[in-house]
Amino acid sequence: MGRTVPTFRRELVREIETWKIMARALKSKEDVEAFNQIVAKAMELSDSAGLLCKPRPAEAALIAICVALQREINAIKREIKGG
Amino acid sequence: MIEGYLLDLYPDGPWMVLWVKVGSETRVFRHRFTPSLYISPGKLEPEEAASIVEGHPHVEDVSIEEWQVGLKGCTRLVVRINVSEAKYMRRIISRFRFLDPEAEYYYYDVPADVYYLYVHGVAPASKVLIEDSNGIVKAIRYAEDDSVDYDPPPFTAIQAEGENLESVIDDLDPDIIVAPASRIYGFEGLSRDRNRSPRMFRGYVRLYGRVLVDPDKALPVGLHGLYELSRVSMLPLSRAASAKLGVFINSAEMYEAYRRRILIPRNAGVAEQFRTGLSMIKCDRGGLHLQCSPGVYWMVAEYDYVSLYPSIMAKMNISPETVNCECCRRDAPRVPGLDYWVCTRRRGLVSTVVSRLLERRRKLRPILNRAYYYRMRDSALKWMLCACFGYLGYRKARFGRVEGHQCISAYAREVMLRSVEVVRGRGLKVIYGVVDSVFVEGGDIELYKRLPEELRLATGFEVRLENIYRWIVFLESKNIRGVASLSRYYGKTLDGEIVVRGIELRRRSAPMFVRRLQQSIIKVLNSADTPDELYTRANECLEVVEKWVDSVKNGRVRNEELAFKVRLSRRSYASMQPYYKAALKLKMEGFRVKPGQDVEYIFSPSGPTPLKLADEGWYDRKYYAKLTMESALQLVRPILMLNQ
Repeated sequence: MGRTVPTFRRELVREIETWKIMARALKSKEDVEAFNQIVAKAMELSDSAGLLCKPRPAEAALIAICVALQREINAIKREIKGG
Repeated sequence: MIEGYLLDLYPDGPWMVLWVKVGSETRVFRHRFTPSLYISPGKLEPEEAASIVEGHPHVEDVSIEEWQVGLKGCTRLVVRINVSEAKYMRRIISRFRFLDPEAEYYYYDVPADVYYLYVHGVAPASKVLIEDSNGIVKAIRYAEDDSVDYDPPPFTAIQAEGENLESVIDDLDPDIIVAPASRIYGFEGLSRDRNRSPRMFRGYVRLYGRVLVDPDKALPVGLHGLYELSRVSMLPLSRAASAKLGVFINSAEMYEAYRRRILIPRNAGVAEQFRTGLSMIKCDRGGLHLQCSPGVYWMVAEYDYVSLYPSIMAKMNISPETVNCECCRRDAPRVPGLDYWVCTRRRGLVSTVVSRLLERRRKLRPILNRAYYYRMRDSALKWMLCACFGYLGYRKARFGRVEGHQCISAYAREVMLRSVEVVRGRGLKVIYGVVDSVFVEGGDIELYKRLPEELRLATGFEVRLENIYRWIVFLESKNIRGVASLSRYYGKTLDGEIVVRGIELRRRSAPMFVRRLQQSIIKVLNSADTPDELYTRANECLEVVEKWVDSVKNGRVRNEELAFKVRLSRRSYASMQPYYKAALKLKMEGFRVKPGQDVEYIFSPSGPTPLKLADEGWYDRKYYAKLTMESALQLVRPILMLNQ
C-alpha cells in the first residue's frame, strides 16, 4: 500500500513545490504571506482532500483551500453579526 | 480406550509414531499411515491415470474421489494415491509428468505429520482417545470440542541451564525443553526415541518424542500460547515451536480447505486483475489518517475499534475466492469507493478461519482474569489475527489476494468516515483519527460513555472507550511545521494516569539520558489539572532542562547514558547510517558484528563511535546539548504556545 501509488500528502508536497515558482515573482511581502497561508491551508485539509483520489493533486488541493477560505469567511461573518 | 494428550508425531516408514502423555507418563504408539498425493489428470481420464500408477512399487492404494479443484474451481474426479512414504511422492510425480504433462498435483508439499492431523481431525497438544493393541493404534479420535476453556495440557517443561544437561534430562524426563538451539545441539541423548538422534535444520533442533522450544525462534506467547496456536492451526508442537505467523495462518487455512474438500495448488495466488491507472489510485490506499494540529486539547475521549481489520474480514466475507467473484458480478453491492464486490452466495474460506479465531477471542474475554494461561491463549490469538490482514496481501501466500487486502482497507476507511459523521452529528469534533481509533473533543463524560454504543450501531463494529484524557498534547511533526506527527502524543487520563505514545522515552533506541529527561518532564506536568497550572509547570520544566543541558556541556554525563542502541537487521546497509558506521568501526577493531545484535554508539567529535571504543567523557558536547534541548522542547512547546 502506498508503494505503487505515492501517498496523497507526498504528492501534494511535490505539487506545492511547483507552485513556489510563483511565490518568487510576487511583488510584496503581503502577497508572499498570503501565498504561504494558502499553502498552509492546503496542507491542513490534505487528509480529507486525499479521499478524493483525483489523478491531479492540485484539484483536491484547490477544493481544500476553498473550504478553508469559506470557513474563515463564515467566522468573520459570525463575528460581524455578533459584534 | 486410552485418553491422553498428543505431544509429538513423526513418520517412520509406513507408520506414524505418536507420543502421547497418558496421566503422568509419556507413551509411544504407532499408527499405520501413508500420506496421500492427489492428481488431477489433464488429458488422461481418471480411470486411466489410476490404472497407470497402480503398478508403481511405492504406491499402496489408489482411489478415485470427487474434490473441488482450486479455490474458485469446480468439482471434478481426481486420483488419490497413497504412497508408502512421503519421500517417494516426487518420484511418482516425475514419472507421471511424462504421461500427462497437463496434470496438476496436490498435497505433495504438505508434511506427512500435518496431513495425518488433517485426516484424523486431531489437534496437537489436545486430548485424544486412542484404541490400541500392544501400542498399535486401531483408531484415534479427538476428545475435545471447540471450547477455549480447556484444561492446560499436562506436559512437563524445563528450562535447560547449566552443565551436565543430559543427566538432568534423564532424571527429570521433561516433555518440553526450553532452550536456545545452540545450547542443545550436539547432545545425542535428548530424543526420547533412542533410534533417532536430534536433527538440526534451519537453526532449529528437532527432537523426537520431545519438543524443543527455542525462545529466540518461537513467538513470544509462552507455552500456553503455543499450545493454542498449535490447536487452531493444526500444526504439531515441534513445528509450531519455530514457525512464523504466516505458517500458522496458512496451516489453519489449509485445514479448512481439507475439510471443505478443496484441493489447493501450491501456487494458488489468484493473479491480480488488470485495472486502469485511475482505479489504481483509488484502490491502492491504506487506512484513513485524519491529521491533527499540534497543541493541547482538554477533555478528549479515545475510541478504539476492537480487532477492526479481522472483524471486517469475517463480517464482510473477504477471502481470495469471494472478492470479485463471477457469480455476483451483477447484483452484489459494491465495496465503498472501489469498483469491487464481495460474494453474497458463498462463505469464504479465509473469512471462515478468521471468524473462528475472533470467536475464540470473544469467548476468552470474560474469563481472561481467571488464570494466566487464558491471557497467553488470548495473546497468541491476537498475534495471529494481527497478521491475517497483511498475509492476505502477501504475494507468496497460498491464500493471498491483493484485491482482498484493498477491500479491507476500503471498508476500514468507510468505518472511520461513518464514525466521523456520528461524532459530528452529536455536536462533537474529531481531532485525530488513525486507522482504527478516533480522538474526540467537546463532550462530557456521560456523552463519551454513550458514544461506543452509537458508533457500534452506525458501523456494525465493536468500539471500546479506551481513555478519557483530562488533557492531551499532540507533538509537532519534525518535518512539516504546523502539522502533528503520526501517533506522537502524551496525556493525563481522568484517573491521573499518564499515557505516552511514540515519544523517545518509549523507544529503547533513544539514549537513557534523553529518556530520563523526558520522564522527569512528564512527571512534573502530571500534577497539572487546569490550563494555568499546565502552563506554569511547563515553564518550571524549562528551568530544569537548563540544568540538564549544562551538565551535558560540562562533560559530566557518562558515555553509557548517552548511547543510542540499535539492533542490526542485516549484514550491510546501503546508506551510511550512524549505527552502521559504528558497527563498521567495531568490525575494524576485531569485534564480531552480526544481524540481531545490538550496536551501542555515541556521537563523538569524530562521528559515531561504538560505546566500547569511546573514551569516557569524549562525546560531541554541542550535538548532545542540542539533542537534550530539542527532546525537552518538543514536549513543552505545544503547551507554551497556549498563551498565544
